[in-house]
Formats: sequence, C-alpha cells, structure tokens
Amino acid sequence: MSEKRVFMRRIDKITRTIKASFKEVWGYTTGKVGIILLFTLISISIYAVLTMPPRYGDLVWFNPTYWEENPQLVPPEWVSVFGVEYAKQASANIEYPFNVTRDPRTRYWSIEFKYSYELDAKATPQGILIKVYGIKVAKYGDNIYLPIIEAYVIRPDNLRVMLAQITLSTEGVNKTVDRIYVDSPYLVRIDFTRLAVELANKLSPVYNITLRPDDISHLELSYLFGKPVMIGNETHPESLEGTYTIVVKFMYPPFLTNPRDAIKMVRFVVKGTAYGFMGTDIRGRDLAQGLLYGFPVAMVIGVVVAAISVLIGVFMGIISGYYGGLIDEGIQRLIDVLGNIPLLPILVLIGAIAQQMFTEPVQRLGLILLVLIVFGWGGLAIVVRSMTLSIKEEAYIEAARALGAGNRRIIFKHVLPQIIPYAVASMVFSVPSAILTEAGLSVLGIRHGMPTWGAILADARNLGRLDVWWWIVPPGLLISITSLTFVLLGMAIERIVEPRLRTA
Amino acid sequence: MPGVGRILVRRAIALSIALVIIVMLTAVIMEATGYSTKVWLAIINEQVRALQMQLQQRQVPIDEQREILETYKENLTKIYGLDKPWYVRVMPLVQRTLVFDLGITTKTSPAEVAGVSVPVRVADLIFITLPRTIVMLTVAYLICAAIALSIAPRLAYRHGTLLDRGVITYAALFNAVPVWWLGMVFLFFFAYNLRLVPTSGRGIIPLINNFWQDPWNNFIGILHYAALPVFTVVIVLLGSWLYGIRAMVLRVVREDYVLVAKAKGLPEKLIARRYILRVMAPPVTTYVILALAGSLGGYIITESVFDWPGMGSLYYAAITSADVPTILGLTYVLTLVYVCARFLLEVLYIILDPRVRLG
Repeated sequence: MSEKRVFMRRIDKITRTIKASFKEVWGYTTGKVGIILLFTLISISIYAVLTMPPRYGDLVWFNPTYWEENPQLVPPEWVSVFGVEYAKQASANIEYPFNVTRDPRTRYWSIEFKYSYELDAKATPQGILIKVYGIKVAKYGDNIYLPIIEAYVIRPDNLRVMLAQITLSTEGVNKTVDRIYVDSPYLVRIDFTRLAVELANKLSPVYNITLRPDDISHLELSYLFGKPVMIGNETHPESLEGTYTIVVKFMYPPFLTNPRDAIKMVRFVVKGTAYGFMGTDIRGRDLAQGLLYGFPVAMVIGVVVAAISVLIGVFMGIISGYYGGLIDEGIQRLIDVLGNIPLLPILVLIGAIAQQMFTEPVQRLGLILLVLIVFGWGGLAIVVRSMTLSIKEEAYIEAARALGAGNRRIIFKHVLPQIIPYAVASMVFSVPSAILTEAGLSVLGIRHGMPTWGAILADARNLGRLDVWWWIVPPGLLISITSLTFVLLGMAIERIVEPRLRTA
Repeated sequence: MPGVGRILVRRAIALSIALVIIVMLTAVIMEATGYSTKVWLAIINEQVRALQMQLQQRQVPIDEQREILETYKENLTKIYGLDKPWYVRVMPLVQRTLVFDLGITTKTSPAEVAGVSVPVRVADLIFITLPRTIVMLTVAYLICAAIALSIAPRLAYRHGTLLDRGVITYAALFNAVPVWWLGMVFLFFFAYNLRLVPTSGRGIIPLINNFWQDPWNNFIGILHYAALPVFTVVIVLLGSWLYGIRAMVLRVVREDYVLVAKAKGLPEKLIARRYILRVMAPPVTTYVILALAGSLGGYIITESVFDWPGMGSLYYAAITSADVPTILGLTYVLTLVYVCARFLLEVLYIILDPRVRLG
C-alpha cells in the first residue's frame, strides 16, 4: 500500500514538473510557436501512421501500377486561385451498358458503355484511360471467341472520333475459362497514328482549315479536345469546351448468351492537368500522400537519433567526470578522435555501402542513423563531464557520501537531476540535424528506399526537374518547418536552463 | 616557450592519430563489407569480356580462348588482391592512401566534373576540384564576415530594438533551412524562371582552365556562374553569423574595461576598434576557421545541387557511378583538410590570444 503511494507521489511530482516546464516554455514567444508547431507535427504524424497501409513503400509508393491513373507532373488543383485553368481529373466505374443492340444483318451483338466528361477550361486533358474488367469468353462448340473492341469519342461539335479498334486475340486463352481479365484489367490502347488521320479528316472540313496527319502527330490529344485555329501561317489547336462522351463498344458473335452480363465493368479515366492538394511527380504519384507519410518517418529519424545520442552522451559524460582516471582518459580520447572526423564524408561512404549491402530500406536507413548516433554524443559528453566535475566537489555530495550513500545513489539522486535540463535542451536542439542529414544524403544520391521528404527532393533532382515548383518547394518547406520547430523549442528551453541568456 | 611547443606537438600527434584511424576505418569498411570486392569483380569481368571480344575477332580456337581467359582472370584477381582475405588487403590500401597514391579511376562521370578524360589519377581529380570548392566557399565566407563584422556590433549596441529582433528572427528561420534546398528553390526562380543565371555550374570549367587567355572576360564569366551559389550560401549563413558575432560582442561590451573606457570619454570608434574588436579576434577566428573546415564536407550537397564542378559534384558523380578509389580518396582529403584546419586553429590561437601565448 505504502509502496503504491510512494509511486503515485513520484508520478505526481513528475507530472507537476512537466506542467511547470511546459508553462515556462509557453511563456516565451519562441516557445509558444514551437509548442504549437510540435503538436501539429505530432498530430499529423499520428494521423499518417494510423492511415498508412502496411509496407507502404513497396506496395504503394514504388509501385507504378498504383499510380497509372494519375496525370504525370501536374500542379496542385488550387493553382486555379491564381487564374491557371486546368482540365479536371475524372473517373468512373461503369457496370451496366447503356445500349445493347443486335446488328439486323450479321446478328452480331454490340454492347456499349459510355462516360461523359465535361471540359470546362482552356486546357487539354493529359490522357484517356479505358480499363475493361471481366471480359466474357463466348463459346461455340470447340471454338472460343472474344469481342472486337471499339472506342470512340463524341465531341461537343458532334464529331465522332475513333480512338481504337482492337480484335482481342484468343491465343493462350484457356477453353475452360469463362471470363478473362477478371483481376487485372485489359487496357484499351489508343491508336495514335489512326487518331491523327481521323482527326485530320474530320476536323478539316468542319473548321475549313486543311490539316494533315503530320500536323497533328504528337498533338493528338490537343486536337481531340480542341479545334484548329490559324495563327499566322500555322495551325494550332485551341481547346474546345463542352461535353465529351467516351464510348466503348464490344462486338460479340451471335451465339453469345446473356449479353448484358458480357462485361463486368469498364473504368474510364480522364487524366486532368492538375491533381489533388499537392500535385503529382513524374510517375504520377500523389505528392500529398508522399509528403504525409514523410511526417512520421522524419519525426522518428530526428527523435530517435537525438534521444539515443543524448542518452549516451549523458551516460558517458557522468561516468567520465565522476570516476575520472583511466576511464576518463579513454572516453576523452575517444571523443577527440570522433570529434576530428568530418561526419558527412563518412556518412556518404557508409550510405553508399549500405545501398549495396542491404536490400531492406529499414536496414539501410538504420545503418545511417547508427552512424549519426555514434558521432552525435561527443559534444554533450564533454559538457556533462565538466558539469559533473564541478557538482562532484559540492559539499552536499560529500555529506551524502558521509551518510553512506553509494555511487549509484549519488549519481541518480544528486548529479543526474541537475544535468537533465541541459540534456533536454541539447536533445531538442539536435533533432533537426538528423532530419537534415537524412534529407541531404538522399539528395546526394544515397537511396534508402523509404518515402521521405529528402527522397522526394532527390527524385526531382536526379531527374533534373528543379523547374517543377510543386515538387521541390513543399518537401524542403516541411523539412525547414520541422527543424524550425525544434530550433524554437530549443531556444526557449535554453533560456530557462541558462538564465544568462534571458536578457538577450 | 616550451609549453606552447609541447601543446602544439601533442595536438599534432592526436590529430595525426585521428587521421590514420579514419583512413583505416574507411578502408576496413570498404574491404570488410565486400563493397570494393564487388566493384573490382565487376571491373575484372569487364576486362575479361573485352579480351574475349578481341580473341573472337582474331578467331582463336575456343579451347585456347578459354585457357587464355582463365589465366588472364587469375592474374587480374591477383593484381587487385582479391585472392587474399580483406584484413590482408587493408594495410597496403591504407599505406597507399596516406601517401596520396589514390589509384586511377576509369569512370567517366567523375572525370567530367574535373573536365578531363579517363583514365585519370584520383589525386589529380581531387586537386583540380578542391580549389574550386574552396574558392566558392571562401568568397561566401568573406562576404558573410564583412557584413557580419560591420553590422553585428551595431546590433549589439542596440540590442532589444526592432531591428535586432528582426535579425534574430532571420537567424532562427535560416538556421532551420537547408542551404541546398534554398539552392534548389533559387535555381527554380533565378535560373529556370527568370533565366538570370545558368542552371548548371559546369560551364565554368573552360573559363577556369583557360583563365589566362582572356582574364577579364573569363572573370566576368566566372562571376556569372558563381553569383547564385555564393548568394545562396551567404543568405543562409549570414543569419547565424550575425547572431554569433552579436552574442560575442554582447559578452565583451558588458565587460568592466569597456565601461571604464566609456567613462574615460574615449570616442566610440576607438573603443570599438581597440577594446572590442581586438578582444574578439580569437573567438571570431575560431568561428571562421572551424566553420569553414567543418562545413567543407557540408557543402558537398549544396555544390552538387548547383552542379558546381568542385568536390561536392565529384563526390556525387563518384557515388552514382560506384567509383571506389574516388570515394576513398575524397574522404581522405576532406578529413585531411579538416584536420589541418584544426591544427592551424591551434597555432592561430596561440598567436592571437596573449593569455595562451604567455600564460
């Protein structure tokens, strides 16, 4: 019972101390801003961890098929605030055909799916994606048949432009199978050569401008979603606003049973020219997602390295100062050697090796962090040692020893409590360095394979795309804000533990 | 002054030991983890394949070919020392590195940074690029020092004013911003959007290499290339410079002898020059040299962002092309520069601070 009460009292004391320090830190403007930022960072990190799917890196971030529906390298949607017009990103899963008919002559089934896209800006969508799920295999005796697929667009000016016409090959299809492309869809590929010819033939008479297929090649989508205009002697596409209906038609032989059920689903995607809150990178990855999942990684990197190196620093410093002699000499020389090593070159080397030795991102990053810890404790240990040396000479230590207190009791009861404030300040100050180093190493070409802010910046740099602002500004800004948080907190804490700085 | 001599010798010995340990550590890391083995094996295989092509062209019979190739491979393995265990290979590697026998690189991308063609000695690569790095940083540091030393004392006199607070905020903000990221953002603005400066620093190579053919125009050209990197470094560094020197001045201004000088009615300028700046010389020098030496490695990233053809870009090229000799050589030279700077600092301290010199 009494033991429990002692424990409770201790807990109570600790919470009171924390509350008091919190209040004191809150008293400074820097501290206030720091605390607010810290809580924001922590909340976002927790949210990210809770919503993050397991093995996010492998299964999502580095998985190209996950991002195939996204437009590549487009800015965030809020650029429209600055007057930039963009084509919307839109998609839909259509499960039921809008039209099932039979050719009166050939008796062939034709099953049509459609999707309407509203273009309401002076912009050209980046692409059209048509994915077909669960295509039924028609059987007649021993023979199997697959549909002929046609995809076309009906433009606002009522022109009908063919995108693709494909006969699915039955080669390699098992006779016993009822449906193919059930799990992974069949992607209807747009036939761009044909599209250019079609557009040239159909647009020229309507708009009274002679267009050759050569004029259109590489600008197929701009003409598909636009009309030709003459600027000087040259024709240019100008986007045409209105409703575009994309239709996919499946033509089956007459003996198909249950035609309404022939196709499970058609997914239409029109890739826009702006995406989400943060835009996309060159692989179409949603940068908002990558940045979000960078939060917990950055926090873990910073806090783990800072906490462990401070622990080691305090431990080594106290041992060194308290016991003196050979132990002291040994530790001091070790710090000397570590302090004379320029950290970054060694890190670069070890990072390059980790890249070859390990395949798991966690191991690679772990090795880099380990090196940061090994090199990170020396400075604090020197300060702690000199503090311990002066504390050791105080009269109350002598008194405690006279009362029969052991070394361990003296260290934990009398030395450590005086050092803790400095240790906390030093820890808070050293959090950013690990985050900055990780990011810097990523930019320098050391790949660990985790989706961190540094890794996102490194992607932009490796591909030489420093001209894409939504790719380079947000990650660096987040890195800066995170380090600023700890710098501000550190400044406030430092003023409390070092009263001399208060006037400054 | 036997005391001074002994201090210097002791420091020199400690620093040399540190240097040797680092080189050994680097060598052990590279050899024991199998990193260099992998790279050498790849090179051997490449050479064997090249020989095989030659033999095939000369239409040597298959059996004979195989025999020749096998002995060739064995020889190569022996030359590169791959037949011995790693702990045997480490010592010669350390010895060679310490005497600047850094080997030869055959990778093109590191050689391109220096503006030479392969194969090239790694030592040459480093001694071509090292000055470029030092020049860029030194210029940036000189600018920072000039601005900070002229403004910071005035701030210290008026500490607490709006301007002073503004400078502190600026220092805190830019303390958190990575230089290389600001470099990226500035590149975006000034190079890609406004097209004021080039997007890559590579173009400076011919200007530096043929400097004396047309000194004036080349100088202008170099300025054109160096402007943005130097500007970026100054913007980020200036904050901590102002803050650091302001703090030092604050400490000195509150000393009793400054008060006495003021009470005597000495002119402000004289006080500043004789009583404040003179006392500040040792700490400021420490600040400058340590910052310069310690951050030489730190600007690897900044430099590679600007594609400035110095050591940073060389490092980047070496890592991306897995060029072992260059990585090892650069690590060694960077450490050496750092260690030398530390030693220089000890010497300067003795010269500048009479308490150390005479005490």
